Amino acid sequence: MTANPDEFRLPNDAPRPVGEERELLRIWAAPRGIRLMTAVNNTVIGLLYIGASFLFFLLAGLLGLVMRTQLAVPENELVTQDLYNQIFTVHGTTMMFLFAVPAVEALGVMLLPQMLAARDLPFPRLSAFAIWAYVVGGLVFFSTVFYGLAPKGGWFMYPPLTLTEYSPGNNADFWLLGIGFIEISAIAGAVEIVVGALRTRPPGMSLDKLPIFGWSMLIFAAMIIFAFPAVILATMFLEIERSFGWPFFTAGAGGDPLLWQHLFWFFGHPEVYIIFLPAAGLVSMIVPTMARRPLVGYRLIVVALIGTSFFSFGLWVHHMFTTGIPALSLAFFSAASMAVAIPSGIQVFSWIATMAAGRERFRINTPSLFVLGFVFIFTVGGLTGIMVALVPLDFQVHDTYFVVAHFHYVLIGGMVFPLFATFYYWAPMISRTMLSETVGRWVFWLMFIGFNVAFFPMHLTGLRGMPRRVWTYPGGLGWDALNMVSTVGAYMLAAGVLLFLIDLLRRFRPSVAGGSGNPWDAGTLEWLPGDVYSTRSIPYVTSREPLWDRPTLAREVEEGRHFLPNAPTGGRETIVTSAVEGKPQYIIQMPGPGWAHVVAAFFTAATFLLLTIKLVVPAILCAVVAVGGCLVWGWSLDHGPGKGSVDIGGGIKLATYAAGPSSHSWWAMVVLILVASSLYIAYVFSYLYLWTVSPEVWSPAGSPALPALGWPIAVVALLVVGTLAMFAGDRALPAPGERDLWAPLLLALGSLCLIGAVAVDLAAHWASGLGPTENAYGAMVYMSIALNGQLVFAVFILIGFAIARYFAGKLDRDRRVSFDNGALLYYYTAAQVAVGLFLIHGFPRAVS
Amino acid sequence: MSDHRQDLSAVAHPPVVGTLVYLLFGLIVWSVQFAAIYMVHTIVCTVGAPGIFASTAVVVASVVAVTAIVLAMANRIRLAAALRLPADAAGRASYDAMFRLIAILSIIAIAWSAAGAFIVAACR
Repeated sequence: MTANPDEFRLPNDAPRPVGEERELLRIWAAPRGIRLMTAVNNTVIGLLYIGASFLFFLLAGLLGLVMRTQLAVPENELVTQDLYNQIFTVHGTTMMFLFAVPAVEALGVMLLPQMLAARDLPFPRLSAFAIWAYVVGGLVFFSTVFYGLAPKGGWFMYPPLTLTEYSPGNNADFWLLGIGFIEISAIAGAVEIVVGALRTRPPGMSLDKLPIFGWSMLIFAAMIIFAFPAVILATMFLEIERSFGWPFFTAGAGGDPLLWQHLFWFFGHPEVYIIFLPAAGLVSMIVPTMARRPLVGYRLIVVALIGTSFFSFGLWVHHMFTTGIPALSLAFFSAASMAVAIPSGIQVFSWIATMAAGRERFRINTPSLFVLGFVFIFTVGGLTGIMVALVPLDFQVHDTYFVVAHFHYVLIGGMVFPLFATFYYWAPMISRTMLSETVGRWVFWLMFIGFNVAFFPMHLTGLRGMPRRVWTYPGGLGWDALNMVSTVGAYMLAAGVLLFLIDLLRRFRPSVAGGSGNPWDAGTLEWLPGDVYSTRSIPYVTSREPLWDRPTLAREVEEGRHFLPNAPTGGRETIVTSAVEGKPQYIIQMPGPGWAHVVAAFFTAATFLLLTIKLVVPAILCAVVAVGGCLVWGWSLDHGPGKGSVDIGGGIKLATYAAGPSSHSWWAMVVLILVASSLYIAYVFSYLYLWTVSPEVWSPAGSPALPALGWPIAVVALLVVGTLAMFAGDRALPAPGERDLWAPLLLALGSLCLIGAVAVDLAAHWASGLGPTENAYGAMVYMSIALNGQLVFAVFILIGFAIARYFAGKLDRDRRVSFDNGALLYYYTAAQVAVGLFLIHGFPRAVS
Repeated sequence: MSDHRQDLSAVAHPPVVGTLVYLLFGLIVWSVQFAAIYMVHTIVCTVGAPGIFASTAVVVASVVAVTAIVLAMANRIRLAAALRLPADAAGRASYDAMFRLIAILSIIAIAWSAAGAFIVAACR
């Protein structure tokens, strides 16, 4: 759509008052020196995040080179078998958990606010917390490979190999606690991205105008919310079995090692698409720019992204075709595995159509070369994916190098090539100079040829029967030459990456105050001129490529003629819009730099790492400091409605405060509750799964009889009283400036009832004679209580925090976000405890 | 280009949950069908019941799921109204198109997953 600028009445007049921009620069200035660690600007922490994830890519890549060198010739003894096991485990784990997912999240933190012309994401300190926790935890985890403490069970850590009997020492614990903790960091990032993509779009940008990268990040974050809890639960099970002997995976006590595979792959397969979809989103942004026309089939691409995300949750068993599952079940998952090819194909054809349909010839430069390389490599990986989705073929190639070839084609093709395209394409947005086009082409060809030389022969070594994860192999099996070729290719690929690093060091000059303009003449908002505050004003958006459709937009935005050209609250702020239509709703007041979240991140990482090496008391002390850091951080967030309404331009006045369902913090809590419910659903699946495997250990036949019905009735009574107390506490919140003791008393009563409910349930099972270590049934019963207990702990902290704010005069009927958050989690927790009662006390009675 | 004062002043906000349910209707039905057939099949085989029960359950669940989607497509406007989506909401035409495309994709996936019931033995 082409607009006549004269038809449009801009929200604000120019010239803007003197000093307005200087005020914005002061407010949004990033700290310097050591205080840079406290920065929360998305451009600063986004760069740190991208840099850290790329560092892990390089480190894991080096481990890959060691593996390829070891396998270059038969009977090689460059590294020992034990070290090789550690290297392939850390290589896979680092690439998946410390590079791929964080790199994508980093791009979300960096690019999403720019594409939405928001001043920042809605929870800047949460992003910074997640990043620092990831950096510290990730570096410590990776370092274990240098002193023989790295895990050896593969990136998927299958039990029984990883149970204490077969993996003594702390190696496996570093994976379980280290990676489990980093998954929590990923979830924190996902909360940020969901709320950011839905609530901080510019005015007028309805969902159907959201850039494809925004859609892909939204879907990416939603997938993290539903997929990651399964593996978090699995890691909890395995760590608890290793540390305390609760037999979730021990077949002799009613457990089942296959439970791990179900939970792990329920996360692990969507994980592939968690990595791929944002990369596809990046490609969907680059291709239209290089073709100089809008993307062909925008709606189809959105449908494809959504379809892929759903279908990816129906594929997990295709990693388990050889585990003895009945044929009909295999057929369901085989069908879903093939069905996912349809949305993937839609995207590929859409990109090709966009390239072909451009008014001018598709521009060939370094970003577009990487995009073309991605299309080729990913398509090959997709085709071999269809092959391994066929059950009979999978039986043949399972655990061979064919699978190694397949997933490297999918992951390197589907994620690393788009990432390099991204580096070259978006570098001008944050660098004063562009990367070299000449060097970039060398980088591409070295990587493209090197990759195919390295990984294509692995299809053949796999078909010739070479198994995965072997330390070495005997000569004369037909694998020797192919392995040597793969190794040569790996070094060629590494040479390409090295050349990129050299170019980066020579030419990349990061600047949070804007880059080198819009060299590609792209149409989306991240190319608007800006500074440390993002854009001078927040544009009114009426199309998907606003810079193409309104050529004067960049100038108007820079002149401050669109929305919020100033800082009316005197602090950091951006516009919150409605989730579907993008209509302005209120102004969010955002926190600036601070130490509290940094302290919380470091001490959270320390807690988990100290637990790994069983230093329990120091770990608890670190946890106390971490919680303290979070409380200090949270204390400054709920500003209250004191600043009234402000004019953002165009006659629109917005409130500077919101509580309840329209508040961004309410949305974040809802997302967190979705995570908690996903975790509990995974638990319910595990409980029922183990019952189907070992019904003989279930109560009453194989375990002590269930507690008498009076116990669960007492628990329900406590839940009802507690919930009523919370409702009453809500109504008792006084008007601003008034005080009485009813509200805090009722909130305290609610908390105590919830604690009492879980304590009574625990006492009931303990009194029945059931122990958590006797069999899988006992372990499952106590695990339910543990999961409820951790939520109750969180509620206790949040309600205690709300009570403290009440006595400090920072909580009342209007200024109530801290109460709303605690109450929302309270109601969910009460519901979860009730569902758990129904399952634990009802199911065995129903089936006995 | 329309005036931002007009565009941004409308009172009706389409509900987020309603919009998501509308957009994702086909895939939500697919999820329920997929979970149901996997669960029922597993339980039938675990308790040692004849495999024909599992195959029949798969076919029945799939027919019900496809019927639900087809009915939703045929009554799209009523479904949208029931989910409180304003007919004149910004982007409504796009959401309608996405609804249809997702529904078609879901029908293919449901039919494809059910096909196994006619081809392979249920509990071997």
